[in-house]
Amino acid sequence: MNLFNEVAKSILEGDSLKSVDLCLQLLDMGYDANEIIDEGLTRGMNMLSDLFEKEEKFVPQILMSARAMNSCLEVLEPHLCGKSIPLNGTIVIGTVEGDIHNIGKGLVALMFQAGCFNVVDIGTNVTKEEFINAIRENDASIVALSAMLTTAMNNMKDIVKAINKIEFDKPVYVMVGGAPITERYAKEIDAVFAEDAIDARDKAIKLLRNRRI
Amino acid sequence: MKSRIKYDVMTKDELNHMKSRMEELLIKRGIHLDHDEMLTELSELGCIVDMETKQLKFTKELIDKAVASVPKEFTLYSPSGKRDLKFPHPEGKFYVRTNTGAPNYMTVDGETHFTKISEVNEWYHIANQMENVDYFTLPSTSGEEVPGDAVDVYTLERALNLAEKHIWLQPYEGENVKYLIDMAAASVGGLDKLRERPIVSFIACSVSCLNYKRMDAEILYRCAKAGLPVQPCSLPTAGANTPVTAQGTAFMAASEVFAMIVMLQLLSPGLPVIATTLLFSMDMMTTYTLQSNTEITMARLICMQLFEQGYNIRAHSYGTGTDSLAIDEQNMIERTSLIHSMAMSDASVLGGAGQLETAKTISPIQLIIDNEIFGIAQRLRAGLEINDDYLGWNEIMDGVDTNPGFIMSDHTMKHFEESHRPDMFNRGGLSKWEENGSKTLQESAVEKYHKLIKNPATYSLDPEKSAAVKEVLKKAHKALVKEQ
Ligand code: B12
Repeated sequence: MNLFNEVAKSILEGDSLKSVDLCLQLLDMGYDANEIIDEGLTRGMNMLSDLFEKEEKFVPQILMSARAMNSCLEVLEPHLCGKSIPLNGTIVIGTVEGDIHNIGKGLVALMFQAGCFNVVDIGTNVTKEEFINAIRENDASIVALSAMLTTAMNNMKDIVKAINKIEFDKPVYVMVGGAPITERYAKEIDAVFAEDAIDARDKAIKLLRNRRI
Repeated sequence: MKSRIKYDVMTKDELNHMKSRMEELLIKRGIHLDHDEMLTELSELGCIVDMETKQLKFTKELIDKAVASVPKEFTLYSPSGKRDLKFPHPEGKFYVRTNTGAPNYMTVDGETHFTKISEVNEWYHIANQMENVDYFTLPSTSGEEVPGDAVDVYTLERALNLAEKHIWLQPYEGENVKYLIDMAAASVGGLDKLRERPIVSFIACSVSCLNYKRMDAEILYRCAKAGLPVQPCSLPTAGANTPVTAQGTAFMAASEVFAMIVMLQLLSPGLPVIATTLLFSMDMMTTYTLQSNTEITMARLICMQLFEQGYNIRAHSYGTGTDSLAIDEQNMIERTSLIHSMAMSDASVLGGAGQLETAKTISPIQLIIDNEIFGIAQRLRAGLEINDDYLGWNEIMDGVDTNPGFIMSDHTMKHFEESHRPDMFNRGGLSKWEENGSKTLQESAVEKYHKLIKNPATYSLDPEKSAAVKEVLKKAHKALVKEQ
């Protein structure tokens, strides 16, 4: 039985213990960590994405698989010959001041993690200053703002304006979302819009595609 | 007494199991309450409080005492005095309320946008004329129309001027609560008058699981002090912040609402309360919040049965609504099925009239259609009585069917007007229907809207009181609106 297939399958099944165990076996057998990632982990996640597209898998299963993959990456990292894990970068995420809804924001954060980002979740009711400090402290490449209340949209606008004015050490993309937020509104306030958690992950990957560490 | 058709989701044993687990949860795990004054007072009243962590636990004695002090009868008053609502409903019916909090408004032309203040006026004008809608909420006016920090206060000013029925208030910020109360008081001539005849009641929401943030604790506290009725709410999302099962979500929502009722009764024994469990679920494919998931409909019924039968406390939940974005077939199937199920439950209030898009949009056309469905549902709830008169026993035995027939018989003359006849439904044949423009129900609703909108206002606040309300609005604006 091809062990790479087994890894892909255990990732697809979201089985962390088994996935890690298989990765260790492959390392013992002398396989390259990069190969394990490409042939095992990534293939498993791709299979999962296909099934999700066909509506045969659900979001909790994606999150379980992502957790299995992250556990494997931790095990493989020391064997990556000096290269760090293929993290996509850091994303700071929070719900804007005046709004305490956190379910959607939490899901988006989880999905970013599933997309191999380092995620810093700074909670709800977050002020302009808190967003800006968090971007600086974590050297973030993307800041993601959530708002569920129409009454918090003005605060979102203010925060985005303030962030866009600042020259950080590197460019910071601003992404926004939440029930009342539309593509048009995002454009108006000069931010990237994503419809839901999966769209947010895909757009984040696209935004940072050329800047992989 | 008329008979009632009734859906009981739980057996007696299951109901008792729910009750004992719910009480055990509040006694052993307790709640998190972000309000120091309230924690102190509740601690003095016997609750077990940790001021540092803001954790509060109840005892069985306190729970029993609180349940015993929930008033079994009370009235929610109407500004016009024409639509006062006695609980329990004297005829065993349920009450209907409009949807609260939706940011979007779908106009008669089908265009959807953030709610304008002119549309708030239109909403009350139409809703006043809906005979099957018993009380109102605040539409969520856009922050572009009125200051974002005071949307609730600005919208209430409209409601107090225009709404002839009781108003259920949803505050958006803790500091706004005081002004909302003051404003309602100004409309009736003072706080004492408001306490005597509360024309408003309040929403306070828990954050699942078992958390009460500052604003909502403040609502509970202030209402307890002002003697204003509260319809405490829980809005859990199954699978996101409460158990994925309908049963687990019903259990958590009911427990959170129950905890608020216990606190309110301890602080203000005899305060009118209505247990309001507004359940949602998360779609595990799209992650969107759903209102019309089938299991969640049954979960609502569990909550209704738990409070009404289990504690003799009046209960309220979504009684209409849809996850559809349009006034389409999905919409009608979902809402009719929900209205029907809830009407057959123990619920005292069916909420959400006029909404679509999972409580994010309201539409006057939808409201007009809901009014029609609620008419049918009220008739269903009343049920049918069996006796010789209703059987038509005498006329059957007399052979009235052969001579002269039932069409003009005494029995027919006595009863034929009792049948419920929806206002807008087609009841005729094809050629007449075509002659009248082959109208669908939606088109008939639009036609009715145009008629209703032309009618003169059924209510307006007297100018002196209206000026007093305006004064409070000015004060509120000064205190709440931060300069942008
Ligand atoms: C659950 C809920 C609550 C819970 C929140 C619990 C929690 N831990 O978050 C509680 C009960 C506490 C609550 C409180 C309030 N709520 Co509320 N709430 C809801 C409800 C029912 C569901 C929201 C939700 O969690 N959805 C599930 C998630 C998964 O969906 P989502 O958030 O939309 O997220 C998706 C996308 O939007 C996107 N997304 C979200 N964030 C982000 C961020 C980024 C960067 C990106 C790219 C994408 C993205 O991805 C997610 C999907 O994958 C909605 C109604 C509804 N139909 O949505 C009302 C709703 C949003 N609430 C509303 C209101 C009015 C309130 C209150 C003011 C009511 C009150 N008086 O208590 C308070 C708010 C207080 C405050 N200052 O914040 C109104 C909004 C009105 C308005 N003007 O906008 C709504 C529409 C309901 C209503 N009709 O009243 N609420």
